[in-house]
Amino acid sequence: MSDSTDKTTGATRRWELTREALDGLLQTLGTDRNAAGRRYELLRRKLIDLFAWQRSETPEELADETINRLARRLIQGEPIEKIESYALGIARMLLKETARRREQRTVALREIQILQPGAAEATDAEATEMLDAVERCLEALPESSRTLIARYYSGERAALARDLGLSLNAVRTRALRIRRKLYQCVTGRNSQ
Amino acid sequence: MIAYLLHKLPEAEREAFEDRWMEDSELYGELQDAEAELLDAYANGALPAGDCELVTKYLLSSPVQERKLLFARTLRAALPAHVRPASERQTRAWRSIAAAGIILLAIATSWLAWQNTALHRRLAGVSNFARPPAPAVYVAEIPSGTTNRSTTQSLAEVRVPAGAQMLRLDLQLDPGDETRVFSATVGQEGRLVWDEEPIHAERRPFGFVVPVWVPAAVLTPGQYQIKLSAGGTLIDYYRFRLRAVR
Repeated sequence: MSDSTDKTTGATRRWELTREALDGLLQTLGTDRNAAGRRYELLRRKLIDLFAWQRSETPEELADETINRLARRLIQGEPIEKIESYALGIARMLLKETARRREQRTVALREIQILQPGAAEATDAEATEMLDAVERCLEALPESSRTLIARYYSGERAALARDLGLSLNAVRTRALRIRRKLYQCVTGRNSQ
Repeated sequence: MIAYLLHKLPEAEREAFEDRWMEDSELYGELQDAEAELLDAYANGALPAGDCELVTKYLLSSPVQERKLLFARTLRAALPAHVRPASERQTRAWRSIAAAGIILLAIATSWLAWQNTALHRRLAGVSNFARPPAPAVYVAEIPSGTTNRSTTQSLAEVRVPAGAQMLRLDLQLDPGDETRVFSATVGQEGRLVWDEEPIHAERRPFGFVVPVWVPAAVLTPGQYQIKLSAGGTLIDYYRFRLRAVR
């Protein structure tokens, strides 16, 4: 269960998430497999955002490492009552570890964001791919949702609220819900 | 929530809020919405300068986050400029049908031309600002491990992205050297490429560096050596390899 040491090189091999450990984690997250899977995905999403909002350059990798360590503790028999809180504790330890590693790195490349009109960096391919995905996902929306979000982003929020007979806050909530669905569609996470 | 995302909260409050949203999925959803609105405002140039810098610093550090910004910009570009309420659309449709006999062909032709132009414009618009304001300056930290004073020397690798106009090389200093006034010469295979003086050390989170600014236009792929001096006295040499611009 612990990290193993290669007898030839002396290098430490990191513990990888086994099928058994993943099953153990899912069972802890819920008795219904589908609900446990959704809770797992939500936990992973929260961890990715946590690391991203802490300026991590590799939030997805760190989220997976956090889940690895969590599963490992479970399979080692550690009693964990609140999975999300425990995962947060592991994540915070990882953040400290990566902050120390960042100070010791041999090469660091950072960008200074200086506003310069007309300067472009993203490739056309990325922009095209995103535009195609957004248009495809917009087309898949019901017309009422498409109209709502279009009017919301065109600045017609007060008129929109009047037309729908809703408060501005309610319109905002609806628009953001549609936006979130669009983003999930674009990133291929429709099931969430 | 904005204060949390832009790191304006004291550390203890920040951690307490994290404890809450990790457990509370509804609160997490609201936090995601707050982030989305921040990025929408950033994409629209609607944030105050101070908050703009904080978004750049704290919310755009990874490909995951850059994808969120790309989505924000693309969504704005993909939505129609103006959408009329359904009842008004029907009235206008009937009016168009009544006048269609004469102008239909002209409308169809114009619409096709407009669609083509609009698509190109939208695509160009998205690709022009599809990422955060482009890094006109690219920073590379050249560690003291590459210098002659280090017992195990290594070569720092630098990759300058396309579009970067300046490269800032942060030369790590040993403690105690930071009060001096420096001069630096950048050479490649014995040939002087760039020099700069006077240079003052600047503080970074991990210590002090000497920043050397070099126009990207004078650099070609290859191995470089920077000679750092102070008051005529050699401080150290720093080495790096510049890979082809990506």
